[in-house]
Amino acid sequence: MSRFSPFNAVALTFGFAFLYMPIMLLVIYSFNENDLVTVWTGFSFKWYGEMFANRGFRDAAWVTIRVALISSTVATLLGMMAAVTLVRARVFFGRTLFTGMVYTPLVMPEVITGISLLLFFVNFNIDRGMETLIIAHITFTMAFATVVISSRLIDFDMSLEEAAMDLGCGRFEAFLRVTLPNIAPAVAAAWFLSLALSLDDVVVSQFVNGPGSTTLPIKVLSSVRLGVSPEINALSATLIGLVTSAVIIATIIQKTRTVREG
Amino acid sequence: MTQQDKLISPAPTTDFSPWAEQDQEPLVQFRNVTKRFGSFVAVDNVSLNIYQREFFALLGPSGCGKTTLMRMLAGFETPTSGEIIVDGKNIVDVAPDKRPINMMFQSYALFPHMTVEQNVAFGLHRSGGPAKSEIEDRTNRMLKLVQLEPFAKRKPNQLSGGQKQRVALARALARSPKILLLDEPLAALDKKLREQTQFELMNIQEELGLTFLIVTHDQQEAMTVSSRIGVMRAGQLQQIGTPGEVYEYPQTGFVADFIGDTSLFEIEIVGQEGDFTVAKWNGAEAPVYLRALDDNPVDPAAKFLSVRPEKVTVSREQPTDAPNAFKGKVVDIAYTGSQSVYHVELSPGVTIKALDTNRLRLVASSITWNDEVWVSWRARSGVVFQS
Repeated sequence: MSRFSPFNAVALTFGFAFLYMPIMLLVIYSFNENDLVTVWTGFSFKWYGEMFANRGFRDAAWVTIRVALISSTVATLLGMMAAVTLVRARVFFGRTLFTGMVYTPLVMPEVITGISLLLFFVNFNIDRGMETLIIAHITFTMAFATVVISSRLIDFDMSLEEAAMDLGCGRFEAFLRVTLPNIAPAVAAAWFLSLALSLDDVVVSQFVNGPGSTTLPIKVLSSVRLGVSPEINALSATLIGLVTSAVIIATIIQKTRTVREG
Repeated sequence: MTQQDKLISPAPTTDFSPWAEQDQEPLVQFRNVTKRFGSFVAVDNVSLNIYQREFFALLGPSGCGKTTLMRMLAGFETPTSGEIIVDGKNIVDVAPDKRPINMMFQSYALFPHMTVEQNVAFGLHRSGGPAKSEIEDRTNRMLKLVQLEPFAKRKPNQLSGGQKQRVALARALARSPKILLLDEPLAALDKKLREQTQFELMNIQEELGLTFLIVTHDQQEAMTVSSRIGVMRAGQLQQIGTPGEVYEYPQTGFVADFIGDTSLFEIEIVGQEGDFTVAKWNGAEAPVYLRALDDNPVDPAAKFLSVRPEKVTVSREQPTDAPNAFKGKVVDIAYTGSQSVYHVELSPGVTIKALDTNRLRLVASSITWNDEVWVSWRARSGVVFQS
């Protein structure tokens, strides 16, 4: 139990100011009425309207959402399978190595992930587009999904699954009826985290996207090269809103210890 | 077979003793079952028969292989070698969900996302299984059996330890298994509740006429609930017998020491004096006199003697009627209220325990530390074995 001292208050204020001031500014200026980004003249939703009217943005948003939904779903499924095997299986040859290998992509520089994926696709003559984008996103989000789901599985009492088998379930049925409902919060959290990661990825996507598969973050980046427009502010604010929601939902779900059902 | 066949059973004889009848077919047979984990031998060539309606206890210290033996019967482990026969069929290759056996887990393993009712009904929802009304009916009967009807809609985390234990029991019984396995079922309960639950378990077992196999490290629990006990040590069955047999006729020093309390001495048998066998021992210069309970001679190759504390009398005066009477000094007294155990040193480093029930309400016993006392016991009270 520590008291909330003035020092804590100051530290907290400066800390959060440092973190969030730039973002706040961006969000505030997205409601600016003026054509110039840095000159405030009045409040307006004008740029949001412009943004939604921009066909290029709309297409990019559609690509981003499809890629994020598909890749996060597949990554969560693969991550769950990896987690179940790594946590549950009795010691098998190379288990420690495999566990380590699942975690490495978390710290691998994104540029390297991107380059290696590009090389892979070029090598196998795979045309870059939606498909390569989805594969690439699955690759780097799966590691996160695995970590989130394993941490929950480690706490899960193995004898629950044995009890289900004892009461007449086959292995797979026992997993579906007993294990899955109990690790569901972690699975959902893994899905939202993967979604957030996929939504805001630039580096890897830049290497593997093709014509017609430009994602929103890439679109933003290329637009900025031509000069920052208030429209970009509006778009960025929208992206921030989306990604933050996904992360917040993931956190809330993961914090929920008890599952309510029936 | 073993020497116990020749012995007179010391336990009150009941009609129920299928293991002693020649024509009884055992319900469960472990035949030369061995289980290795890597180089570690968890279960070492165990053969054991368990009969219909028995309450059989596997007793032993932790790591002795008793849980592994039970898990092989449940189907969660596969024997490295040997056969497990249930109802005449080898079930080694049968999956756990296809065996007529249910298990109550030590952690209870209740499904946290389901209510008490749903937990109990879990095993009944099978394709080709009973109809819905029948499931409800059976679930209610099970809940009634364990007196949990008012808690049917609760989740496991809203129950006390004792209630959880009863849900686990009801859930395991709901499928009407031929055999119910109980893995340390009462270990998580406090002493009072544990004793009460022991009797409940016995009543349920008798009422339903089922075969129970319990794994425990608590010898008192095993003695109370079971028809027979198998004492295990380091993967091997040391002795199988009724509670009375394993207590009064331990075949090894380990069994004598593990079940109840005892004093162990090294002996060497030197001769015979009338009805008594005479042995040199490390307790005193004077020899110790032995006699078997029946008319058989005492095993001449015996190397150890066990004397239970309650069979030893402590007195200030030299007793005249006991063949075994030795002088010693009280070095320790363990007072537990209902009884006192005196540790009497007979010779340097050799002590014997003598139990005295505190029948009279005296705060201080007349015998106290450093007193010179006599300990004595009957020739038939000592048990001897080779190891």
